Amino acid sequence: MTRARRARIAAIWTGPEHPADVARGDPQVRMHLPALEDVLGRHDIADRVIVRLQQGADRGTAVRIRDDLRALALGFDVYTAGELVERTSQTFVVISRFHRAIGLITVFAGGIFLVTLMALRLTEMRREIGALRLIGVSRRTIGATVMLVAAAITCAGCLAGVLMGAVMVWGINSYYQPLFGTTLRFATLEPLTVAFAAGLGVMLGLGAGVVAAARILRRTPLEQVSR
Amino acid sequence: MVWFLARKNLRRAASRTILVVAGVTVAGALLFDMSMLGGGLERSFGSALGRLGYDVRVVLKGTLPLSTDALLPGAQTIARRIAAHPGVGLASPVLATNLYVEGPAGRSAAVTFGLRPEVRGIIRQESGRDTVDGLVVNRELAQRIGVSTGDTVQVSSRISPQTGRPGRTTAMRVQAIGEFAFDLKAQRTIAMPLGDLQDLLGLDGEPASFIVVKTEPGADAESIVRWVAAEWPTLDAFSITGLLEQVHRQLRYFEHFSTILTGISLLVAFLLIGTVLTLSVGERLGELAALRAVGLSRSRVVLLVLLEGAVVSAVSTPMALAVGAVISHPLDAILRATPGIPQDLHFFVASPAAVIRTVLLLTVTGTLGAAHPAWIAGRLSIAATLHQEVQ
Repeated sequence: MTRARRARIAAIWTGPEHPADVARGDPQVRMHLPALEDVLGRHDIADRVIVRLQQGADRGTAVRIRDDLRALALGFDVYTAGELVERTSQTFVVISRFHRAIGLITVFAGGIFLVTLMALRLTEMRREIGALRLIGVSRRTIGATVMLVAAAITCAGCLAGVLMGAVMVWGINSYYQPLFGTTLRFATLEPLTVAFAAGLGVMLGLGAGVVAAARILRRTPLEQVSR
Repeated sequence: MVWFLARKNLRRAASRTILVVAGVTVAGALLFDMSMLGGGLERSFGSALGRLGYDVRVVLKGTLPLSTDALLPGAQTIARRIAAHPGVGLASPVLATNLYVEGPAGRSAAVTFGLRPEVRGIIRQESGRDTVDGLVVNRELAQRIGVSTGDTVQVSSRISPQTGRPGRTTAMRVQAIGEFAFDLKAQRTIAMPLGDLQDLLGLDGEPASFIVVKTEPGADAESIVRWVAAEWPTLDAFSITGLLEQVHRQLRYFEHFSTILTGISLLVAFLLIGTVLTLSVGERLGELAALRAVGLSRSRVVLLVLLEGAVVSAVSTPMALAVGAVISHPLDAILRATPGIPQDLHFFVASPAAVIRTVLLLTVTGTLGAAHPAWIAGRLSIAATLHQEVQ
């Protein structure tokens, strides 16, 4: 080993975790800058310089100072904290875009599943509906009944889906947190996600109900009760 | 007979069959995409490494190639000793750093490789040559600083933060414009002879960032890895397999993601086929009882329903593969926008294994989905069912 130095461990550092570091699991060491310069044999050279503005400085001040420093046109570049966050979170922006794309495909598959089931469930009611029409129940009442059944099934399905989603979120976090040795959460159940999924489910379910009701009511009562 | 009945039943409820086939197609497309994604980047990385032809990389212990600025001292001497080892065809040091290159249109930082002339394949020049015996510039940098082959550029080791002036500078003639393996999107890269780069940086003792090793045909890369590790305790050697194992942990997210979505798509396909066939069998109980009454055995009735599930899967599978292949391109494009991903790597990699896995899983799921309705059809009582039907 060259330029080896003896160092005393002052502390075991467990700082705030960053999602980007979770999968890497790199060993990390923090030391004072002069000590690192001594080990490297390179002095007065740094990767970056951080600048803390005076208390109360707003975003506009940060941008102005950035522009002033950039105007020096020396051999460095300058970024505000906001810009750095944007640059370093690019990976998560991409992953989030990928999740949305996959979500769209699963919603499409789930949508077909939902429409199929709803149509089948309501088609099963064909004979009962035929009998009701034979005893004089109006098409309007039967249409409303079909829609009520569709709404009930959809609501029950949405509730079960949200519960299943909550269980999956719990399962994913219970599995991945110990696996990567982190307290970061890998999945969260956001109210917006619940509202979107439930809203979409209700829309698809009621849509399927309308189609099934129209198909059923188009037939005569005798056709409906026939085998 | 059973085949005829299965086809007839599926055709009879055409709209229902179309819906279930559409659902299984989308679920199957997702399944195929997840089969391509699970380990796709690793396969793509392995394949790109394999194409370069270097079986072993030697680095400072605890590091990976290009993961650190730390240099391997006496790399040339180490490379010579490795090259003399039985089974080794070539061992050559590679130096990687960042330099500043100035042309008529301005100055730009560039990733720089110092290579010996015998190191081939990392760069492909426009002329088709793949060796470096002068300054080779990638297209991105050439456009940025406004140079072409034959022009002279100023190459500097550093820029003074105090004055903005370049440090140690040398004038070099651009020998060629070339493409570099593993270039990131918009990365500016140059390569020059190793000795020139060491001189420019003022490095003594012929240090390098890592050593690339090419084994002779039939030689075992793993035994060379073990020999290097035993001979130089301060060094690590990685075969392609070893490198893939190192990146495996970082790519585990995609493996788990694909496993979870594979499970979800199989569940959707299973429930869809199971539910539709259960309802279909429920509607046809009288017909099935009649078939039993005229002599169709219980096992053939069960087979009939299982066959219907398998047919739905079989019809959906080619469409699922086609749809999956089509949607994998935009999904791959989304993920390749991740910073730090070389442009020649892909996340979704189609392979015969991915196709076979998708076909097998869809067929098994379709058949298993039909198991419950098949069980209902198999256990129906002929007399009671017929009696109920005529009431």
